[in-house]
Amino acid sequence: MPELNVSIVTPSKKVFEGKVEYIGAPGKLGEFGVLPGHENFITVLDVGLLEVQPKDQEKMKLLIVGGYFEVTEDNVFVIADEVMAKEDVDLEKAKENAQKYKNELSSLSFDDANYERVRRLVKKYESMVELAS
Amino acid sequence: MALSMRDIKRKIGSIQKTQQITKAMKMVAAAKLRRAQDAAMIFRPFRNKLEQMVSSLVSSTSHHENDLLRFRDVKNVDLIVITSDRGLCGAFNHNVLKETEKLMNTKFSGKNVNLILIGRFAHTYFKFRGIKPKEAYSDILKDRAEFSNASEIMDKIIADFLNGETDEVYVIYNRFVNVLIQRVTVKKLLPIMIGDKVPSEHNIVEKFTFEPDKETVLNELLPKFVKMELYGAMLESLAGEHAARMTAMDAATTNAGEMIKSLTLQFNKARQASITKELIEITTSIEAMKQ
Repeated sequence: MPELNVSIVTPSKKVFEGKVEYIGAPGKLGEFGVLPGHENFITVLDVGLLEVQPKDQEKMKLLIVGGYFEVTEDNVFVIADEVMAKEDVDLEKAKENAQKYKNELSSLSFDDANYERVRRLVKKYESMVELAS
Repeated sequence: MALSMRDIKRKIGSIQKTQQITKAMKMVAAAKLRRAQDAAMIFRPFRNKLEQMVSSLVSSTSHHENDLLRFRDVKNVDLIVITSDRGLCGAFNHNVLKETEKLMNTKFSGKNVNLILIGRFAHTYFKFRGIKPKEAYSDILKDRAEFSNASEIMDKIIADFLNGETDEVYVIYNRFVNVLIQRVTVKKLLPIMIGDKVPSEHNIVEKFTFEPDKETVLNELLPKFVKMELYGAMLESLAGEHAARMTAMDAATTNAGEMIKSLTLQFNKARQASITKELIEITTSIEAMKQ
């Protein structure tokens, strides 16, 4: 069975490199999944959870902040500003922050300059909560 | 005998103290170097991946399609000069500054050159020469390089580039090759050019589909790429700085050791001379008393 060569890198570490059967990522226009034999494409990722299914192993979930996703002939590059695994998340703190930024977001109007930034923060902490619980 | 024994002894003492300091500084630099070097080394694969990605993008894009890729007549040039905040690191800063001046007098003579200085050394150097920088940053490269700093600096530069205030942007920094070698590197940041190939209309192959569309991807990826380039240069420069300081301090410690050795020799000679002199005095006085 064909497989995908995946490498996930951030400026401060190489998070993952190996063969996987499936990878799912949060795209700007919604989540998507990639299987071997996918068409070549490049996209911008949103904040959210990345799912990696290595062969004969348990599914891995990673929180990804600000990234790009490229598929070229079954080679997948994921480049991100920040990647977190379940162990890196402080659940209490994440919950607290999620609530804090949610409140801040509800007080902002849609065209506020900070809206996008705060929305990303909310998404980040919500994803952290989802990842850890 | 030029110096008295007491003078030599005092001199040895002071050099020993200096040696202790340089030795300590070498240790500190070595510890910092390890951290900075790790950061720079880990960043390299990331940068290469990003470059690969950008290059496959750029090769399928005409340089008219995005403002950051666009070539134009060069009138105004921005030079980002990365130096250290602290001294005692040999020719590290000097090399970068010399290269900058050389570029200003050769390649960019006749053009309007604006300097963006990172590190206190560059600032002092050009201030002394009466050249006013466009921007000057210091104290941002201490124990580690922060991406947020690189991002902030680059945001301004990208804005200037887009509104036509600058036509080309270069960064000049010390690239960390190994502990003994830091190579002065000049890299073009804007307009973005990967390798030597200038993308033209003819050889564009659409290898990729873009999601949501090419415009969005380019607009996200290209500024990020130039920021990462600057961040990488900062990381390399920081590692280079600590390496240079470590080598310089190591050399200073060795030199101090050699000086102590030669002074100790001088001291022993002086001591021997004084003993001999005293002996001669005693024996001559005994001889004199015998008569």
